[in-house]
This record gives sequence, structure tokens and C-alpha cells, in this order.
Amino acid sequence: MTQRPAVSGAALDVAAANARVMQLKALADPLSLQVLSVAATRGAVQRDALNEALEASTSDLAAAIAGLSAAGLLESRLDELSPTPDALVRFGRILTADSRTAPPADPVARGALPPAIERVAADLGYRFSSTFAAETVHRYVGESYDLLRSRASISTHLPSLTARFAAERLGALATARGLVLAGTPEVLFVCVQNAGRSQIAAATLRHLAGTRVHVRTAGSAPASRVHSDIVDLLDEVGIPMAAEFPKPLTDEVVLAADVVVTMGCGDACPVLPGRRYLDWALDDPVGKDREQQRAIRDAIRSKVEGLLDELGVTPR
Amino acid sequence: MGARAIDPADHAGRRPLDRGSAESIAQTLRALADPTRLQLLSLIASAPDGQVTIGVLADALGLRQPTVTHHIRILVADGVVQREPVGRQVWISLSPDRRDDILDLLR
Repeated sequence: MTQRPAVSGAALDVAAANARVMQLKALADPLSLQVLSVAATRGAVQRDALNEALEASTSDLAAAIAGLSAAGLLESRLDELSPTPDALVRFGRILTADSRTAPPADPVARGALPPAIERVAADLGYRFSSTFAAETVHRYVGESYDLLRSRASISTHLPSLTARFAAERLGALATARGLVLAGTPEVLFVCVQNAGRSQIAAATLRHLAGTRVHVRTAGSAPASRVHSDIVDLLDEVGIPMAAEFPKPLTDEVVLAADVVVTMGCGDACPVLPGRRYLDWALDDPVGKDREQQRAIRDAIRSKVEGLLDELGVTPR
Repeated sequence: MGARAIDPADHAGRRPLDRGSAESIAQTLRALADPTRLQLLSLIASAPDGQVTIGVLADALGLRQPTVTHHIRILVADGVVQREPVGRQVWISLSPDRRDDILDLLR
């Protein structure tokens, strides 16, 4: 009687399997596949362009978009739809008509990541420093970058996508090891339009603190959408922008916050007892040239790092 | 109308799926959209020699062999895995040309 061969790796656990089933079901429809495929090959696509490309009825298209969004495969930002990191890594290869013949991207040599990706590795190394060795995080970020680079369209914001994908995976790993923090402080960033400064500050804080701080934003006179420059500006330094829309400043959001940071909205912010108020003097990046915008972005970052210090949020 | 290119290639030479390819891929995804089948695929993918028997799969997931056989039959029909009888054993492995796509899905 021969010895039965053992199975080495553990099976996908039931929760992970169910999450993938949900994604598969959302995608197991020709129109949904085509929607995600167009978004993946172009990097991002407007709804109107999707209508033109796919000759589907508006309601079918809306249903496909809703299904893909609910399954975490498609997200909308600045009126455009783009694939999530999950969608690119898990389904990127099957979403292009010629993927089977396309040569795989060469893996990045050790220690030879592009500067923006090195920066992502350093930032996440800081964020996860008490859970994972810097080398582990660096390798993880490098692998995430390789996975996404070989599957993403050229017009994709690769550094920020890499940061999100690596942070989600590292975070899940840390949670699985039981390293989650209770008593999370809530920080609210307020500027006039909620389209520039507050969005940069929020994205930076989320990037550096992960789940250890809850971040919200609002504007005293919210714009209709986040300025597209802001997304590019953050992507340059590998900071992902959450899918956010400018939101009005209401008493409720102030009520929920432990710390309220205002950036030029002055008297418009309601003052409630028991909250900590900070006012950061910063110019509005919207309408400035790129060099001035970078200076504002970097100034926001150093203020956010100072805030993290004050909150006593130390790396895990 | 048949398959047609719906969009010029992007800078990287990637083209979106046409309707025909989308229909055939959708069919495969439907076959995969089952938690037990995904668990089976993850076990097959991580087996030391890339192949494993029905008995081992059943033991690993605490399932009866006929149940595993049923799921494997669906995966074989879709061409995702292949079965190879050797003596009294049947060895199951991922189809080589589908291996990369399946590994992506399990990431």
C-alpha cells in the first residue's frame, strides 16, 4: 500500500472562498466582463465612453456597473470607472484579449524599485514596523508592484494602486494575527471646498496610519468633485486617494470627531465642546502651478506626521 | 455579428475582450463560482507535485469522495483541471494552460 501524498498548503478558508465566489458571480456575465475589460485596458473610463464601446442598453450597463462595484471589482472616482487592485491582480490576465501571448513583465530586481514605489515601501514599512520587518514589507510591496504592473494599463496610477494593494494585504495579515487596535481616534479635516487640502490631508493620514485612525473630510462650501490634479499629485508620491466626493460640513461629522483640523474655512466650522481644534494655515493647491502644489502637499504631510505624533499613534 | 474589436489597442497593446471571448470566459467563471470548488483548486494548486488524488482532497476538506468527484467532474468539463488515471488511482492536476489564471484567482 503506497503512502498517500500529503497536501502541503492549507485550503482557502471558507470566508476567503465565499468572498471570491461573490466576485466570480459578479463577473460571470459577458457584459460585466466586457465592462471591466474596457476599464482595465484603458485604466479608467467614463460611463459615456463605455456606452459607446459596448452597445448595451443603459439599464443593463448600470446593472453591470453596480454588480461589479458591489463585489469590489470596479470603483468610480472623478466621474470615471476604474478596476480595483483586486480586480487587476485576480482577473487582469483574463480581461485582455491578447493576454495569453503577452510576455510577462520582468520581475523587478531586488532593491531596484522605481523611486515612487521605494517610497511606498518606506511608508508602509513605517506603518507596519511593529508587525513586520522592513524587508518583509519591501518584498511585499515589490511583489505587489510586479503583479499590478504586468496587468494594469499604462494610464493607471500604479504607485497608489500598489500602495493600496500592499496595505490591504498586510493589514489583513496583521488582523489575522490578532494585532488590531481598539479605541481608534477620529480625525476630521475641513477646508472650504473639500476638494484639495482636506483630501490631501485625509489621504496622507490614511496612508500613514492605516486603520489606527478614522479619517473623515468635509467642506464648508463643497465643490462638485475632487480636483483631478489632486489625484495625480498624490500618486506622484504613491499615496492612494480614497473614492471620495466633497461633502458638506454638518454638525454630525463634527460631533463624531475627536480632532477637527480646519484649513482655511475659518468661522464656518461649528465649535462643539470636548473636541480638539487645530487650524493649519495652508494655501489652496487648486489653480496653483505644479511646483507650488507639491510644496503644499509636502507641507500637509509634515503636519500630518506631527499630528500622528501628538495622537500618540505609534507604528504597530 | 460575431466577435469584433471594439476598441483600438492601448499603449501597451492590450485590447478589451470581444463579446465572443467574454461569453466563453463567463461560462468558466460560473463553473468556478462555488466555495468548495475554489477550495479544491487551492488544494490542487498547492500540492507538492501539482497533483493530488480524490481521496486526499476529500480528507483535507472533510467531504465524502462522491461529493469531491462531482465537483471535479465540473472542473474537468470546463477544462480547468485534468484527471489522469494511474493504476487504481486518479490523479488530479490543474490544466497547464489555465494554471496562471487559476493562481491569480486564488491570490
